[in-house]
Amino acid sequence: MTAQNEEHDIRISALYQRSASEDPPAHVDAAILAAAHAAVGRDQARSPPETKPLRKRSTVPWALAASIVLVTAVVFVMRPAERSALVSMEPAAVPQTLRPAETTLALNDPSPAVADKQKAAPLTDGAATESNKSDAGAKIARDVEPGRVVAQAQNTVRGSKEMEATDLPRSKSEKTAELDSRPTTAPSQAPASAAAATPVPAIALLEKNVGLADAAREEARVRAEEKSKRKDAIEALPPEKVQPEFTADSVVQPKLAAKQKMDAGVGSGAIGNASPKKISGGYQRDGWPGEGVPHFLAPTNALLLYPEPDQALAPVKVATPPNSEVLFDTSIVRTLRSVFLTAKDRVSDVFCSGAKSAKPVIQPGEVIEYLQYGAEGYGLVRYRTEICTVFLMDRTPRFDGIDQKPEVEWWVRVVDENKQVRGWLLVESAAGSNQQIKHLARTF
Amino acid sequence: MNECALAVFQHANNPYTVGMSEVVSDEELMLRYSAGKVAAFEVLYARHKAPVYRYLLRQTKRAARADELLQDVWVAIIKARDGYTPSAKFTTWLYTIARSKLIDHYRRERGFVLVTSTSEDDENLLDSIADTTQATPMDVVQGQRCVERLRVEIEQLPAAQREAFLMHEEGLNLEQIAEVTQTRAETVKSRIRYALDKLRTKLADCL
Repeated sequence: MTAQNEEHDIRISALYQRSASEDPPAHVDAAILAAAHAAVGRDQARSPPETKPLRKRSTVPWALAASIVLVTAVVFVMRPAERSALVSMEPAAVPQTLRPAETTLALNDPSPAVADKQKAAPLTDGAATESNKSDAGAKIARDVEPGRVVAQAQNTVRGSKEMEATDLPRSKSEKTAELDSRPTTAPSQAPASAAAATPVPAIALLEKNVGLADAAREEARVRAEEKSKRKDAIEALPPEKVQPEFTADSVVQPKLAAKQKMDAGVGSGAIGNASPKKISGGYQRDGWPGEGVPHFLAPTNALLLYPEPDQALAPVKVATPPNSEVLFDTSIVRTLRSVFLTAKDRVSDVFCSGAKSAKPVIQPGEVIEYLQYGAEGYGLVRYRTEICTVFLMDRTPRFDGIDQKPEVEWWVRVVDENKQVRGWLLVESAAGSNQQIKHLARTF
Repeated sequence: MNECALAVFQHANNPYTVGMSEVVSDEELMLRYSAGKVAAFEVLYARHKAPVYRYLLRQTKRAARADELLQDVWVAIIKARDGYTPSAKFTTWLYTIARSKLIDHYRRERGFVLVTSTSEDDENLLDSIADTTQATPMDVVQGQRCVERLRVEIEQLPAAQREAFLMHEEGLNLEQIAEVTQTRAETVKSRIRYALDKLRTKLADCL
């Protein structure tokens, strides 16, 4: 390139940049941005937070932190109430301090304060004491009123050192004997009789509950991961379905709302599990052009594969081992545009698979639909609704219009070594062979 | 608040519109959008809307069609957000989708066209889709400025050359164009060279 040309090229580029002042109209901007917002809004409405990978990882720590905060808050809420109860009641009415090793659910404590809690909560079995109308008891009842969860949470934290400060100087054996003699009727636990027989240590209960919650969360996490993996494995494209809530489509872009096909995709996972859709008004057959089993080589480390055998869809770059053979499990040849031929003479070497006429004769002037070229002069045609092979080529043209060729695409569905579908590869089109691959010798 | 001021306000409040020294990559923006951050998409869209629109407009030559196709392209991006992984440059992916939409459009309009050839001889590859209803350059350029003449001359280029030239002018390098058009970089280079040769000749008095 001469220096003058280079200078001219720079000027052309400058001219282009001066001419490149167009922007999309505001309503198009608005429609696209609305679609982006609507899509994300729909995602968030549809998916629980833990299904998002970033959030998924932090679910358990956050849940534990939230539990600790809740429990601590309950402790601070309950302590003043219990202190007031201590002032107005007999020492025996004070809630028991329960150390971790000996903590017992005290919901059926016969003491007035606890009885009030039971009445308010209402957890009692009717054996509550009569002195449950005291102010202190009422206050505690109000505190406990929000529900059994609070009562249970209160019990679960009684093993803390903070609660030990309110303990009365009773012997361990006294407390144990008293506590063990009371039935336990916590609703969230095992049946009352069983609980009464074997009091449930609160810490153990807490651990059990936390363990169950953890197990449930872990199970949910594993399930979500499996779901995510399955989704990746199937395809990297969004589901094909009507989305009436997609306001940008339905209101701003009615054209888009009518679309039901997948538009594009990219991802690390496999694509192309979908079976090829039949071409409306077109023709498609399983197999490949020519004879013998074709083999291909992928010289580079990636192939552009489509989710379906359709060039209108966006391809996805899928990694492949360099210089490896491209494995496929399905091969199809699709006719995108056929050619209509008119017989010049009588044509008798026609072979049809249908039952109507296994070996018809095409009369001069009759029209056949040329679908695909086969091999050695034979072509696949549609004749009176039947698919037939016809000897098309001869020294002199047997059909008018034979100078045109049908436009076909040859696709193969690429699989990996584990026979997992990776996507559809366009082997040949009317434009020629796909340069991503090299054709190897066929096997017979 | 007028529209311009509002735009500046929105820009200032978008966490992804950071200073030039710490520009967030397109791929990162797309990942953030796929994680639910719409603001990231807004930046991504603002970056690329004009080049892609111009590419579509120069190819279709009709604003209404370019509008439609631009929507198609970005809606495809939106729909594909969940499966997005930055295996290639975002720009390459974006133009691949844009090109697919364009081909789809041509198919609807005129039936199948040839688009994936990689032959050096396919300079007229997309000519079958060139819009022949356009006025000739001479109808348009009489007494008009060089910029307008350039537009007309670009429209007159063979489609494959026009495609490569436009992508190149919109910032894609040879390798990216080759990947988008599924051809070789050498072919792209030739197409751009041929396009520039023609433009140089046609616009000699402007250069």
